[in-house]
Amino acid sequence: MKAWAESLGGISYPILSDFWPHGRVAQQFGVLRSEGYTERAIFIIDPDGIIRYVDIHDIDNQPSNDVLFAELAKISPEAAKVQQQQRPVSPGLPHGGVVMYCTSWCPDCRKARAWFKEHGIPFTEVDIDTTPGAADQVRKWANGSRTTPTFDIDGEIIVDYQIKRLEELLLNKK
Amino acid sequence: MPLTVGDKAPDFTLPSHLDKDITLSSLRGKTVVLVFFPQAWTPI
Repeated sequence: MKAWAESLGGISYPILSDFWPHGRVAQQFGVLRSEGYTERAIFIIDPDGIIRYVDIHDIDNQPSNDVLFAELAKISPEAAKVQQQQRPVSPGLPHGGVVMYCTSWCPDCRKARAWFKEHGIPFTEVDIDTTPGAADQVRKWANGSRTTPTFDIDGEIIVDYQIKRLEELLLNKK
Repeated sequence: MPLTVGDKAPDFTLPSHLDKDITLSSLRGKTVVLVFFPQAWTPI
């Protein structure tokens, strides 16, 4: 498990193994499916051990971090502060205009490239597989995940290929 | 049936990748986000 976590590139929160007895904790929380694996589920547990938020969602439909931060803020304003922290770009990485953090292979990066070309929008690419510090930068923005593409558009960070937000930011400006 | 808002979270102790076991009740006083996240990032 440790080797696996390291292969993901260092994760700041503990990853737990609910393996023995198989899925027992999932069962206690009522999210073990009959197929033997769990639902995708999020529980927020308050300082007294009481469940304050439950979300069970399809694998492709996870709630946005904004929703979760709002829930956390209801319980403790401290917990939501992370969101407001300024997240400046690490030195050595390009900044200004449209910067896309991507990989050579990710399908959504390919779509984004095509979209920029279609609209004649100049952009700078940072390959996070080959650029030192780039993957760590993306993790800071994406709450620990190497999400590609991630965009830095004059300081506005968009994690993942969110076409609506790109349109808002880049097409309405013209 | 999944637990719902207002239920007491059942206590558990599970091994973590940080070389130590995590016990939910030891985190009293803090807010905990518990995520069940199957099938992600794994070769399975």
